[in-house]
Amino acid sequence: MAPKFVRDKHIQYIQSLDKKQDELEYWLSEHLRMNGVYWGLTALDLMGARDALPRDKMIEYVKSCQHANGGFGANPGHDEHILYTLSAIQILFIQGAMDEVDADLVAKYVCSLQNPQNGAVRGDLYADSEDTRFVYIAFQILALLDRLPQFDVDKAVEYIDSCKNYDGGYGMVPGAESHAGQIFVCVAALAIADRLDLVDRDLLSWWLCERQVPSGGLNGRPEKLPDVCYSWWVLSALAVLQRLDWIDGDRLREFILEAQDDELGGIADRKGDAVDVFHTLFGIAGLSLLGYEDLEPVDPIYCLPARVTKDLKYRRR
Amino acid sequence: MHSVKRVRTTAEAQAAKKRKEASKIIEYNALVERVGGSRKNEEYSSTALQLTTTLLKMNPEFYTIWNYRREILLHIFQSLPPAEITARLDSELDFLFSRLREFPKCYWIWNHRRWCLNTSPAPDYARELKLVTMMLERDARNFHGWQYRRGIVACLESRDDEKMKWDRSEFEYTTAKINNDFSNFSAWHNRTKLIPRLVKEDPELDARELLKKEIYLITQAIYTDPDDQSVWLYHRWLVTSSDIVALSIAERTALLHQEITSISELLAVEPDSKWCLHSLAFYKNFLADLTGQEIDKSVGEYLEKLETIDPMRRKRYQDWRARISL
Ligand SMILES: [Zn+2]
Repeated sequence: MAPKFVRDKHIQYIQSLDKKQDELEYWLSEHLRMNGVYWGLTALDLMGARDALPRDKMIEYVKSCQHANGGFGANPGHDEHILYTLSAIQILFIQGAMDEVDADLVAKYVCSLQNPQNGAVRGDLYADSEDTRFVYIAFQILALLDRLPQFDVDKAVEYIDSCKNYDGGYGMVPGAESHAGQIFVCVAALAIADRLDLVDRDLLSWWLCERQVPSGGLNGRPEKLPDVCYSWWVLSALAVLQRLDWIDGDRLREFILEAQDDELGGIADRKGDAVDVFHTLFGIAGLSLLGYEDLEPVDPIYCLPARVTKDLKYRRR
Repeated sequence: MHSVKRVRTTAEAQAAKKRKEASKIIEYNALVERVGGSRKNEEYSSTALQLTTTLLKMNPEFYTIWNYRREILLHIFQSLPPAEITARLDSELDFLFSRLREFPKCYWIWNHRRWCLNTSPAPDYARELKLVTMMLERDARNFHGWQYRRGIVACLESRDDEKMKWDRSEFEYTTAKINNDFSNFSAWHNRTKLIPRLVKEDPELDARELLKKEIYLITQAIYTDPDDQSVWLYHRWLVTSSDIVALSIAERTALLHQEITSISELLAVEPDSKWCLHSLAFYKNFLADLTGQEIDKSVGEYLEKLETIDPMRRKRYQDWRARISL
């Protein structure tokens, strides 16, 4: 029998994260702080407990991480990068606080990261680091800001298509091996651009559903260990491709619930491991997508509560 | 966090750990503040560089500090001749190698390494190739490593007068990796990228002969471990795509018949092999689509059996059966 979903403990766990200043790990993970706030807030929202973290303080914090060029860093004093800019905008979007930022400035920053030659997007202005992840992130930020037409979407779509592999999957750059995380970002980006016609739907869905291993969990590549975060990457891609029922939801639910810390809350990558807020969100989002535990519905394209994305223009399936 | 065991300790043990960490936290935060101040004051000296070394040794994920480090290096390079810049970047690569040994999956270290190579007036790609070969020796599936490797090979290839020399040796490398372990998905993947390039660029190469050899190799892999999805994916690519050679319909049909016979023989030995059943269903379905003939009745039986032996994916087999109405 599957363990119980310990909602209240997960809420307490997320609330406790900002009170761990007496642990070295708290300081060593500052480069993930903005993502951490997004992961925690979204998990809370899906559990119907958005107010468990103070809203005004959170918005002030997000704003304190913005740089003059519009981009956001991971924490005050950290450089801007598209990874944290997305989390910042997602937080403001969930909180209904988009009027707190200059949308044109942020959009200008994001557009400046696109390579006009090949359509690729780099992560920041400090190094040359193109990656299909950043194309998805750019699409999502601009869709949330309602500024997508300022971007060369067609060129970016061409770039994603050039990262497609013989197994129907997608890699980080042209030539790179398929990986569930990369497949999620590429499929979701194509969904935002309304270009899912480019996906080899049956071949890719087959690859994705074969990620479920006998323990019920999903892995990210063949012959790798199952991991709760892949329950999100694989599942959301299957949801966008409308093949969610090609895996066994009950078995996956059990795998996620077994990875919970049922004493102190939080979810780990797998049973018996230390929990973190990243796996807590993706475990909960996976359960939401499968329709378990009476959670708020999650949007598989944006990884945001469906409540806040329902009126977005760019959300084709 | 990945693969970190959950440990429950007593309240005393926790308090003791926190006491021990308290001084480390003070030391770490003082260093972070010092480096931050140094950047604010636009210090680009060797001392500033040394400070970032210390901090990045404590925390390689601190991407802002890698950014500062590049600013310092570029500043120092302004007054150096090319030979000395190369030497400085070579020692930077040594530092990075020691970091990668400890954190082989840290994105920011690989990111900085690529920058060094792109910035160097005379990058030593051959040395990088040796290094990444060593890294893949330790973890044959590290995709940062494979990606870096493809970048290096592309650079070597574009700088060599002998066309396709490096792609050819890379093909040999994946052969060695595969002979070592048939279920190396990363190596099979790389072959799907290398072979079409080799065929296109080398007019001497007999593509049909190469396809034959690949099918022989993958058949060996399948017989060794018929439970491994990656070999079947590669097999499917060889049998159904035109990436290596555009076969005529007659040739393709013959190939499909040949493979269906071969897999049927394996199925006779392993009657519950999921992948044999799956591949037979798929190739017979593919053959019918290709020739316009009716789908063999056995496909329905294979799918029915798959529903029982692979119940997690039952719905997929049901959808398939519904589609071909068997
Ligand atoms: Zn994970």
